[in-house]
This record gives sequence, C-alpha cells and structure tokens, in this order.
Amino acid sequence: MNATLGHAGVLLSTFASLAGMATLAVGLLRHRPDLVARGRVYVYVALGGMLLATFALEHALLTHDFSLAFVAADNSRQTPLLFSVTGMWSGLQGSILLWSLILAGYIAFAAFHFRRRASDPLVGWALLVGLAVSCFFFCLMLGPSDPFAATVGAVPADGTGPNPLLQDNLLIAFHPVFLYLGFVGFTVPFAFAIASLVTGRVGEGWLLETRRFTVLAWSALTLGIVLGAWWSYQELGWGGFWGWDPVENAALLPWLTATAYIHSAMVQERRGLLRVWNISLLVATFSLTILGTFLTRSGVTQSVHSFTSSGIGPALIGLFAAVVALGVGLIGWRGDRLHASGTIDSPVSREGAFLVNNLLFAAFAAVVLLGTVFPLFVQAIDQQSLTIGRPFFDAFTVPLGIALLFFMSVAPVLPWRKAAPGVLRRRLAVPAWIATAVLVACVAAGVRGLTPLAAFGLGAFAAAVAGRQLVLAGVAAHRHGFGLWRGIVGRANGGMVVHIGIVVIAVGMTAATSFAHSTEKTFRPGETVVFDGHRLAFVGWRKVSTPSEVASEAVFTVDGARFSPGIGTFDGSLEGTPIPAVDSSVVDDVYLSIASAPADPRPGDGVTLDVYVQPLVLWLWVGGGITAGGGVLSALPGRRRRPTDRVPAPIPETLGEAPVPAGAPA
Amino acid sequence: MTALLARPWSWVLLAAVVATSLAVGSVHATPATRAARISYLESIIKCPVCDNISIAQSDSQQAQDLRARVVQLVDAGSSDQAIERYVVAQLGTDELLRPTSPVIWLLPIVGGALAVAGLVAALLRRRRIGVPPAVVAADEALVAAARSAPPGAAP
Repeated sequence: MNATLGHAGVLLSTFASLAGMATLAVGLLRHRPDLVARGRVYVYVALGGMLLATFALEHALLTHDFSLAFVAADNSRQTPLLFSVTGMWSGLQGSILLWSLILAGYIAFAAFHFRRRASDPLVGWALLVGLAVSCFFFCLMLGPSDPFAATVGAVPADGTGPNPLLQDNLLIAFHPVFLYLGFVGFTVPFAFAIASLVTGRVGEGWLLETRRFTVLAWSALTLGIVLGAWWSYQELGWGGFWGWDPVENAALLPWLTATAYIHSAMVQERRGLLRVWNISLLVATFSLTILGTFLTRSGVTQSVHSFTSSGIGPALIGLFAAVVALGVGLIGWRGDRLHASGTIDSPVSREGAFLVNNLLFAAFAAVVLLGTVFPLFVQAIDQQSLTIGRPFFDAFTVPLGIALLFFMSVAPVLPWRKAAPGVLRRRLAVPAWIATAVLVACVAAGVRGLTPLAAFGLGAFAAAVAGRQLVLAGVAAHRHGFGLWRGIVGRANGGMVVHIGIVVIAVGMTAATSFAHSTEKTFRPGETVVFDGHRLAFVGWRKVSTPSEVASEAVFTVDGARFSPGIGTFDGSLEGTPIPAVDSSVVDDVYLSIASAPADPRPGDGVTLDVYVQPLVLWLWVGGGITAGGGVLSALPGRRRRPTDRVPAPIPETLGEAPVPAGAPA
Repeated sequence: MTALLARPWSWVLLAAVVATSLAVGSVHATPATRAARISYLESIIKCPVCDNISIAQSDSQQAQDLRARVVQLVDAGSSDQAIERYVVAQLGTDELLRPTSPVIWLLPIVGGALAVAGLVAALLRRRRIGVPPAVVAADEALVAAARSAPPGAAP
C-alpha cells in the first residue's frame, strides 16, 4: 500500500516533469506563448507527486512498514516518534526524496512567483531547466535509489533502526533540512542564469528577479552548516566542530562561491561589470552542490559523515559534468553579449573591494576543493593513498580568512566608482580606533600570537564598521519618518547584520581553536579535580534506559552544576556510543567525553574522562543565528526603489550638478 | 571628535599603537616545550582506524598506542622530522594529516600567482582600450536636442 502510493507519486512527478519539459520546449522553440504559459501547470503537478511520495514514506515510517527495504534498514519498533519522522533523511533513498521534494517546492514557488509573466521566454526557459534538474532526481528514485523498494525475502518482524549517531539529538530534525534548503535553493538562480544565456537577455533583470531566492538559499545553507558543526560538536566526542572532512568541505564549497556571487552580483547591478564572472559563479555554486552530493553519497571518500554509500555516484558525476559543460558552452556562445559596458575606474572603490573579495573567496574555494579532491586523483593515478588534513587547510585558509576580515572592514564604507581622498580616513577613523582599543585590551589581557590578535583586532574593526553603517541607516530611517527598525531591514542593512554574525563566528572559531586546553583524567567516585579554573567532581555511575536506548552515565558536577557524559547502546546493538556532555557559557565550554570505562559500570567504579576547555565556543552558534537572521533581513524589502523601475522625475533643464536621488545612501 | 580622529597624525599614532601591540603580542609566543611538541605531533598524525581525525582526537586503542609512542620518541630525543619519518615508515604516507607531497603545497601558490598575474594583465589591457573617445561637436548637438525635448517624449 505505502509502496504503491509512493511509486505512484514518483511516477506522477516524473511524467509531469517530462510533459512539462516537452510543452515548454515546443512552446519556446515554436514561439507559442500559450504553450509556454501552460508549462507551469506541470510544475505544480510534479510538486503534488512529491508530496504524495513523501506522505507515503512518512506513513510507512510511522506505521513501521518493514515491507519497505528503506524502512527495515532505518527504523525499528523502538524508534521514538521524532526519529521515525526524521528517518526519512537518515538514509540515502529518503534523502534523495527530501531533496526532490524541496526542489519541486522551489520550482513551484518560482512558477507561482512569476505567474504573471508565465509566457515570458525567460521564465519558460528557467522552468524548463528547473524541471530538467527535477526530472534527474525523480529518475534516481525510479532506478538506483528507490525509497519504496520492497524488502528482499521475508518481511522482518523488526527493523535495524537508524544509525545511533542519528537518533540521539534533536538537530537531525533541522540540520539536513536547512542544508538541503540551501543546496537546492541555488537551482532557481542557476536556472535563470541559463535561461538568460539561452534567450540572450543577459542584462541585469534576471539578477534582480532571483536575488531573494539566492539570499534565502544562502541563509538556509549558512544555518545548515552551523547547525551541522554544532551537532558534530555535541555528538562526536573530540571537542571539535570542524574537521576539514570531505563532507564538511562539500557543504562549504558552494557556500564560498555563493557568498562571492552575492557580492559580485551587486557590481553587475550597479555598474554592469563582471557578467561572465557572475554566471560562472552561479554555475560553479550549482555544480559544487552536485559534486558535494556525489562526494557524500557515492562512497568515494572516507568520512565520519558518510552514513550511506550507493550506486548513484556515476549518475551524479554525469550530471556534474553535464552542468559544467552546459555552463561553459553557453557562456562561450553568448560571449559577445556578455562584454561589460565599462571598467573598474579605481581599485579604491566599492567594486574594486568586491573584486578583491571575490578573488579571496575564489582562492579559498580553490584551496578547499584541491584539498578535498587531490587525494582522490592521487589514489586513481598512483594507487597510493594520501591524507590531507587540518595543517594543509589551516596554512592557506587562515591567512585568506584574515584578509577577508580586513576587506569586510573597508569595503562597506567605500563609495562606488572612486573614493575621494579623505573619505576613507573620515569614515574609518572611529571604527579603526575601536579596533585598536580592542587589540590593546587583548594584548593587555594576555592574548598572545599573531593570528588570534589579527583576528580579534580585524574582527572588531569589521564589526565596528558594520555597526556604524547600521547606526547611520537607523538615523536616516528615523529622519525620514520611519521606525528605527528600518535601519536593520533591507539589502545593505541586512548585509551589515550578516557581517556582524560572521565576525562573531570568526572570533569564536579563533578563540576556540587557539586557546583550547584538554586533558585525560581518571576519576574515582567522590574525587574532585580543578582543571583550567573549573572544578570537576565525579559523583558516580547511573543507568538510564528508554525503549530504544540503554545508557550508562557518569554523573559529574562542573562548578556545581550536574553534567552526565554517557555511553549509550541503541536498539540492542552491542557497541556503545559515547555521548558527551557540555557545560556551555558565554566565556567558555567545558566538554566531557568518556575515554574509557568498565563494560558494565557499577556505582563504585571509576571512569577515565577526556576534558576539553575551549573559550567562546558558544559564539559560533550565536553568530550562526545572527548571520542567518541577517540574511533573511536583507531579503526583506528595504527603503530603496528597484533600480530597474522608471524614475518619474523629469531631467532638469539646466546643466549643473547631477540630481541626488531621494534616499541615496551616504 | 571624528574630525580629530580623522587627522593624518591620528592615523600615524594609530599605526604606531597597532604595531607596538602586535610586536608585544607576538614575541612572547610560547617556545617549543615538550608538551607543545607532543600536542603538535599528535595533531598531525592520523588515527589509523578513523576517518580524517588525528590521534589527539581519537580514543581508539591504536590512537592511544601511537600517542604513547610519540611521547616515548620525544623523550628519547628524536626531532619532529625524525618522528614524522618514523610514522611514515611504519604506517605509510597517508598517516600524516600534513601532506608530505610538495606538489600539493606548490599548486595553490603557483595557481594563485598565475591568477593574480592574469588579472593584473587583463585590467591593464582593459584600461588601455577603455579610454573613451573624445567628445565631438555632433555628440554635443545630440545631447542638446535630447535635453530640449519635452519630458516623457519618446526618443
């Protein structure tokens, strides 16, 4: 029943996408606007099919229908309700369904958003590209990655249950969903970029139309990455939040190119420059999400995050190659129309700073990509395995990150075209002295080392500049009769909130990695140890059991409050999984993880504990929230009119100073 | 206040304060003590049975044995390079998280240098050809005609 319903949903979506593609293609090639306009109906049908399939899979998970191979492998009768629901994305086939559902949702939303321009060839081509990408994922579910495949042999009485790491933390309900909302969201701007190349309408219109999709997808991806770091920090037991693991890099790569794009798109809107570069960045972002899925899901890389491996690798790498070839081919074909109308007049200008920012982001992405795929090439050519870890990535990304913080401080106060002498000196004076004060305070407080001092000082600089812009925007809004809140809403102001969030993350990351202390300590019950200013006392063991989990917890008090790191076994499996406990505060985190313990500890037994004390870890998660929130604020309409709108004011009769448009930024 | 801080001499003072702070803050960096050497070595040796994490981060038996071996070798007076060579000889080239192949270290540097050189060349060339042509009398006449047309009239 569930299988039939699910298969019906996937088939419906597949046929709808094929019929939609055919309708749109005929309409676009034969110049039949009525057919182009009708194409969008199929987009809604495809979404309907995906909703049906998702309903069928969730129903199967909640009713423990083990006649489905996916449910038998990722669910058991003891699995709690929440983890049954999230079971949909605990395994490969269900994650492909989640991806397809979100993709169908985005394309349907785009079709609805542009419904008044449905017969416009630009929208038609964009929907055609969106449907083609959707069709690829629907077909994966018909073939190599079928979430509704029947269990081979007799239907088991109980399933194996999800991976223990995937049923211990609430974040499984959020991290994958936000990550996919980010990854998949870039399909819409990519589809419009391809449509603009095909139709030859490479002007600035499509950039503006898809700006909100890009910014919201970026915010979701940011939140997804930060939540993933938070989750692995809580689960993996080594006190770290980022390991330069291939799967983590796979999520970071599109984030880097998308961040570069969000900045350089502004240069194209304002000055009409960097057109080839922008389209290349969008093609790169979209193809890197596909490459990331390939790295994560095909089993080519060894990673703590690869919860599945499967045969969809060749299809994904094929799609990656096709996307890159299509992008490069179309850009080459339309090369003549992509020539910029002007040039960058002075390097000391907003567009000059954005250009440098883009080069730094591109270099960052290139280093991460190299470190991620180089071992694969060495293995394929040399049959020799090679590991590239933290020392390599840190050697390049730390200087790049510091340089980015510097440009983040200077770029927001730079005017477009050319900075008059003295402008920078005036606008940067107060922020620079705030940054200097922070630097001196850090040195006085005993912070040592060039990297942390540079990060803290430049972080303060960037935050002060962003704060200055927000204060000015708030004052300007107030003067025009709006509330002060207007000062944080809109593209530029939301962007400054994002900058502050990124600074908070950068400061937290620098502090946590530069000034971490750890120790391994064996405790007898009742023993108290003082480590790095924190008082740890071991109370004793206790047993905790729920239907799906049996855990032995070592009860500790950290500065008086109770924390219980444990070892849990799930669904009757024999191997225990360490469950760390964290005492978080704004100043530092005390992270407790059991290093070794007796097999079945009794109350009087001892325990060996890994203790990590890391400053400012909490700042990472708070900064992630500020960044994502700022992204949403920058997608809300601000005070400025759309640059493509007609200006009603007549041109003044006399020659003189150019009129200053109302509400122009200072 | 802002005007005062924006003066050139204020920026000179600021540069001096920043330079002094950084100098004070970086010279007192901790020397390579025994504990610092051990924690560095543990951070670059990969745990043999794990994925991409160092022996400092893993509690597997093999990681614990390797950590003990590192402490032994450091106390026996081996240099960092000698211990790295020992690990590679014992366990293979992929046991160091810091890749030993010079290619991987040179690629980003060479690639970055080429990219910067290419960009500078492109900008210089564009600047040369980007000089706008001189305004001639015919252009002035066109502009004047456009400006004298009533607002909103079709061009």
